[in-house]
Amino acid sequence: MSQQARPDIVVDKAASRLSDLWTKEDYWAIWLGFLLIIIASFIYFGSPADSVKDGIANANATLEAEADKAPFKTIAYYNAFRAKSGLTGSGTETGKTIAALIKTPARWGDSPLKAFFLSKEEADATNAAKARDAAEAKANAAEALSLAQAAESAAEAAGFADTTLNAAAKAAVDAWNSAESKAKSAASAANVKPYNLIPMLLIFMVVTALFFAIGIKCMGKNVPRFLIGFIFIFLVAILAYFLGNQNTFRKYGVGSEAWAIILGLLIANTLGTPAFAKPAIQTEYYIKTGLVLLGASVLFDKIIAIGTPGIFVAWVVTPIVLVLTYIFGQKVLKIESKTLNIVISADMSVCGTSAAIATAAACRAKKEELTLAIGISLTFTAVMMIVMPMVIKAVGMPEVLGGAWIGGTVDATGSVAAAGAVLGDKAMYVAATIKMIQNVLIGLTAFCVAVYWCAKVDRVEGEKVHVSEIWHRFPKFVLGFLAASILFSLISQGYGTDLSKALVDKGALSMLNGLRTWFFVFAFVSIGLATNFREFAPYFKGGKPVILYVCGQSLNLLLTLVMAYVMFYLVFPDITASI
Amino acid sequence: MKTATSASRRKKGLFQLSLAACFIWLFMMYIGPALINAVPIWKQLGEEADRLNIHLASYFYTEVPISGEAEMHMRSTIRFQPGKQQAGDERKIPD
Repeated sequence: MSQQARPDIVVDKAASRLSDLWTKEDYWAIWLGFLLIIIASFIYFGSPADSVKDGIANANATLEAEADKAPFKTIAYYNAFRAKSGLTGSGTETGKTIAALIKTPARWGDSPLKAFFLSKEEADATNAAKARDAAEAKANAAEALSLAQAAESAAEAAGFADTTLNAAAKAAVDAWNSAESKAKSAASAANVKPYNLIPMLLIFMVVTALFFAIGIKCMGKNVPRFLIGFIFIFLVAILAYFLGNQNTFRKYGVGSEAWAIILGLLIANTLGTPAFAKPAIQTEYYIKTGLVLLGASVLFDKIIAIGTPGIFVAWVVTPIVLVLTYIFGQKVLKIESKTLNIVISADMSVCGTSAAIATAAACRAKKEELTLAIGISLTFTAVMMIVMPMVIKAVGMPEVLGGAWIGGTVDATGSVAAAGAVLGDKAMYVAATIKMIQNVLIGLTAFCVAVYWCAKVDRVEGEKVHVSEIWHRFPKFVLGFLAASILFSLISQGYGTDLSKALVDKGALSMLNGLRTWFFVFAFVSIGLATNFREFAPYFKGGKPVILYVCGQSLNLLLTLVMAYVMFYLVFPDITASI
Repeated sequence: MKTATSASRRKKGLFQLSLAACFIWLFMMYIGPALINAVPIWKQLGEEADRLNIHLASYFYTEVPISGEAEMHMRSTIRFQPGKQQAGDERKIPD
């Protein structure tokens, strides 16, 4: 039975009008998203500071000289790398002001007030308490440096021709590098500054309310009622950030997005969603604007970050798993909702929440389906981030292989990096990079799903679909998403890898990503406030969504492991040895 | 009659919401940390996340600062591969 024949599915009229440009939220997502992208471009792009360019040139010269000199990464190599990675484009005054404006409630442990306010006395007390750890870590790093210098000098004295001395020097330098990283983290933890986030949060609330009100006005909705409702949405969003940044929940991988849904659901299903808040429940509007901003982070030059092995692990295995899981859901499990099937398949195979959001919007999945997919993903991520390092350690799997395996399979990027770090620095680098390459697949996935849905799923059975029909049905915000991705990929490529890191990743994207996470939280608050618990029941029928996730993830685990082994140990062992 | 039903529904809702808030607080302050401390690898995971300033729920690479460092590390490793020059190989990936 085609979906169009079903009475419970809303089908768009296959027609486009010029007025869609200012009356449809798909287009408003593009206009508002690009307005922010243009502002970010004016602030962060342009002629880079000479200090940044010189810093990169000097660091690269050192890296090249050291790579030519020794068969392992030397102390100077790591120092040059650190100097390069410390360069940033957001250090300007405008960048700092914007960073302060989009700040979310801070991380806190036992004292809730610290989410919003930290006095100078409290900051000093925290720093004093952490100073001992910082001093100890600094001493350890200094000791490790002495050992590394001695080992490197011995290897150099032998002209780097003695393999035993080289291996000893490599181990000593790696140990120092690790100790140095820990010392820097400890020093940063002992350098807490006082803050009061409340004024900036209030300003940000006013700015975002007016920003979204532009589209609301043009779409012919009631602006004053929207503004009043938005205050409620914003306050629930702040509460979601407040809980998501609590230390315990951070370690469970329950962030602000999850809390936004939970709090929205709790309010809607206990006291009921207040009537005054309903005009601001604009899930699609917030989510699509956020997705256009997300497009700017989908930089295609990232896919070569780890060379061919990374492309195979992240870009070959992932689509195979995505397609096979979808087919399995349709043919074997016979999941009724195709949209639920594809959202869970994308969420599990690509990269969790972000893929679920993009895919759900591209195929117009129901809000309950998106919530369910994210819930399953969060649950399994929490299990996998603990079990996978345990298994990898227990079987003595090499660090690089373990890192690639985690990077290709665990959904959330934060969990991937931390689980990799449990295994070691190398595993963490490989895991985080593989995940980043996989993140870039979101653009392609969203586009392909949108086209497939318009051309195949949403058509009347037996009816031939014309290109114009596909255009009418196509979710237009996906074009904004792709345009942002292509634009920023070209800008990034134009700057070159190193300069792009300082000006794009740490510059414009820091602003756009800060805003995007806020917009997604508004969307999830809206989803929660508009959902009744009972609406989930039909989707759990026979536990099929969970079975789909488990079967798809099992295939993902197997294929990723095999591909990572083949690529990193059989085809490109030289790259693996240098990591 | 209708107002009485509505008031009682509101009271029930308020009670349910308070109960949920109490459970969240208990979990956040006592149950959650106790579970983490009971599983050594979870504890280690939490410590690593603290050290690297990672939120385990971060879903996109741009939200995880260490991702940028990881990418730069991998690119430097491939572009400036130690020992590659001595082996006589050409560098494969240009900037």
